Amino acid sequence: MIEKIHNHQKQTKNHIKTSASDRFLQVFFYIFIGLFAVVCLYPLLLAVGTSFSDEVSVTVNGYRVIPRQFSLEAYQTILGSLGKNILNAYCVTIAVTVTGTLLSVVVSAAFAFVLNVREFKPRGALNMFLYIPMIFSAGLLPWYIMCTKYYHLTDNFLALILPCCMNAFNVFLLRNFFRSIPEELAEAAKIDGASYLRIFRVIYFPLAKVGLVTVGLFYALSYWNDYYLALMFINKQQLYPLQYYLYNMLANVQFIANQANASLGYNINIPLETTKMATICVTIGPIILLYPFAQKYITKGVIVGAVKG
Amino acid sequence: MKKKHKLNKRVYSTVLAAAMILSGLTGCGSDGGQTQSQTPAADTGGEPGTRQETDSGTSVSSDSQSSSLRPDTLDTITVVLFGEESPRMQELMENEFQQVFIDEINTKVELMYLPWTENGAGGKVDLMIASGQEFDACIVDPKWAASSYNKGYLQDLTSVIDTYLPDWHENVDPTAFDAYRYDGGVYAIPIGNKPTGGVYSTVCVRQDIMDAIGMDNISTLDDLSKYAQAAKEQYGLYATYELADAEYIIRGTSDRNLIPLCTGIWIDQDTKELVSFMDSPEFETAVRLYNDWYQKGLIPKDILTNTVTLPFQANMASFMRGTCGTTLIENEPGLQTVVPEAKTAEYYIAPEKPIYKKTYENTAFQVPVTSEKADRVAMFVNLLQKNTEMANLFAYGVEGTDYELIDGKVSKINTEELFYEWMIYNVKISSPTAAYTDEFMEVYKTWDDKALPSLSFGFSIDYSAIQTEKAQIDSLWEELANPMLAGLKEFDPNIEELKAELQKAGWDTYLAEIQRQFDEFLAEK
Repeated sequence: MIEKIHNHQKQTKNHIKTSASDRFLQVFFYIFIGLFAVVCLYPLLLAVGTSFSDEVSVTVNGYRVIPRQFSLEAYQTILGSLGKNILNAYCVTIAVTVTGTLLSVVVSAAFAFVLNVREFKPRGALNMFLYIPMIFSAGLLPWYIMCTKYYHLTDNFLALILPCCMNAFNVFLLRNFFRSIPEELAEAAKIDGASYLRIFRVIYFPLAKVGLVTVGLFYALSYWNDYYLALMFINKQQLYPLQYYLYNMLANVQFIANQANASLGYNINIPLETTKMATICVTIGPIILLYPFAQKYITKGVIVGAVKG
Repeated sequence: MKKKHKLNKRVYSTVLAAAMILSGLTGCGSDGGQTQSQTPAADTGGEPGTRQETDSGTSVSSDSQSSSLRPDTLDTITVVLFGEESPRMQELMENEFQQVFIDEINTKVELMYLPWTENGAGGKVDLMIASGQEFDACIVDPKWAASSYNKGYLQDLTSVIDTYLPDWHENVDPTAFDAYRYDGGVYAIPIGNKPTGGVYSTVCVRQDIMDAIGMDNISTLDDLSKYAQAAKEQYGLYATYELADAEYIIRGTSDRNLIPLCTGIWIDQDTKELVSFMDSPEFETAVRLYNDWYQKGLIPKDILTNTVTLPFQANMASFMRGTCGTTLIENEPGLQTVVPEAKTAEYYIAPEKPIYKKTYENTAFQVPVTSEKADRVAMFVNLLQKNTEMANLFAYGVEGTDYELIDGKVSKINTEELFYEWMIYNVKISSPTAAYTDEFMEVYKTWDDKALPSLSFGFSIDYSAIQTEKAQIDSLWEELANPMLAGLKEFDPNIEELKAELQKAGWDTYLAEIQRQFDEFLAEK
């Protein structure tokens, strides 16, 4: 009987022929997506091409994918005598991204799990506790005072992690993932005598892998790209993360370029547009490599998290 | 069950309402912080001298000379600068510079660097003052100082400057304080001393092109048109990327002596009246001139949208605004990387008209109300401007290691930035670098001799009463006036619309308020 069904399925499969319109649509979509990919990639190629161009040729001819006049001046400006500082900034950023992402995923997952435990009475209040700051903000000054005067985060490595350790949106996303896991599994484990910590660790954590990777990537990206926390709390150069270091450098280049006509004392030709592009290339390098590995999780994760209410 | 739900809803809505109120109150709380931080300012304004003596252990009388200013006790000040501390600067701040600070003023100086984006009102420095975070000094410009003064962030330094700046008074023009005077007090200590007379009133042109086309002077707008036309025909250069309201253009449009004040308003230096620029004959002449240039292809079509940084240096334009005869230093080296044979020169259009000095020094040190070491900060600024030895040390580094003096000119060995050269440079005491020729220095040192002080020097507008009008007028000016000033739109079909729209945006209120403030400023002056 089963063989019959299989044969029937095979026949059915063989019989379904794609129509001309389907094939046309398929070709159209491939071309469309291909073109879209090129459109997305083009600015990146422009940035790479421009970063290897001579500043004057960029000023006169504009951005080009293939440099008209090849130059490494922008990279020399960024990496030159300050290469050691850049390396240090890279180390800080990697440390922040790894530590921060792990901590954030654990904290967010634990919070999201608790919000799903029906027996936990104050979960409604916790929900509000999470929800209210999404709508109302106390403002910059109280936040700054809290972090500097009460938590003493100035010039502290933790300043780069703690203030954005838990993101409400990501917690809600994880809560929705956990909701998609059948409650019966947890109940069965509870009957077998498992504690909540064990249920969370053994059942929920592995089953929500897709969601955790997605949220983890969101956190990793936000830690990698963050310069604001360093701007607010870090004065020691040894603690500068990469983005802040480059943000600072770019601001300096801009200032010097503007200053050139305003006062005596500066006659330095700083590469400006090319420096910006070189900065982009230097900063996006490592994080862009993460995407291909996490791509399948991201797509799945965002879709699951989005449709479950 | 339903009742419980209702109750929950009530509780939630109460919590939400409370959160909203709290959120509102917290927002106001930041103001509270500002008001609080004003209190010490008032205190400081009372008897700052007395307090500084006790707070930082300074035991000098107000009539002490420079050598006897050194306090008995060692103290530390934190100074906020912008940019990035270079490796060499770090080294010097740990060794030679720090030793000089201790030897001279018995003070350890710690530097805190912030990105240049934080330089100005609303940045991290304001946040630090409002939150009570401790630092003792930060560089500031007149516009930012005015804003900080209005918020109550700055300390009155009147008594400090009398006592602790003996060398400063010898080497810097005290008129520089005028940009930081509010209600009888002085709220920042300027640093540096460079000629600023007629800045942006000159036009900087390509002297090599002038020679090639047989022109030896530019003194009228007709001369400038002739030069621009020839540069376009023979070298394919656009005239400029600057708009028609550039000061050197307006200087040539009439006999009046107009100096720009703010969006749409100029000051007649002779009658002391504010001039509504759009209603003035100068505006009409400038727009017609640019429109003519645009028709002839002298103005680039992307003049308003192309954010090209230095078009003159990139050999894209044949002229730009000049500064103080300093084009040899500022523009020529950059231009010569593109056109090796290029030469530049600055000319006054209408050279018979007076030259005005609109600003003295743009950079000063502010002391926040939270600091109790204003005396130490004053001594620190005084030291930076004490004499040639000190000015050179802090700007160029250690002689023999960071720079060499050859025929009285500085030849740099180290190119890393130390204390900002542009900030410390004092034409009276600093040694010029080798790039400055003797001929140039001759002209440069006397550049300001014929300059008259501008009427608006030291005047800063408080926009708080006309914020809405100001925002609308700025936006409309950019949308309607700039295309005219770029030559893209003709004068006759567009001027009425510009006037009508600005009137609707509250032009009369805007003008009246600024006129009132300016009258008050002149009366006090």
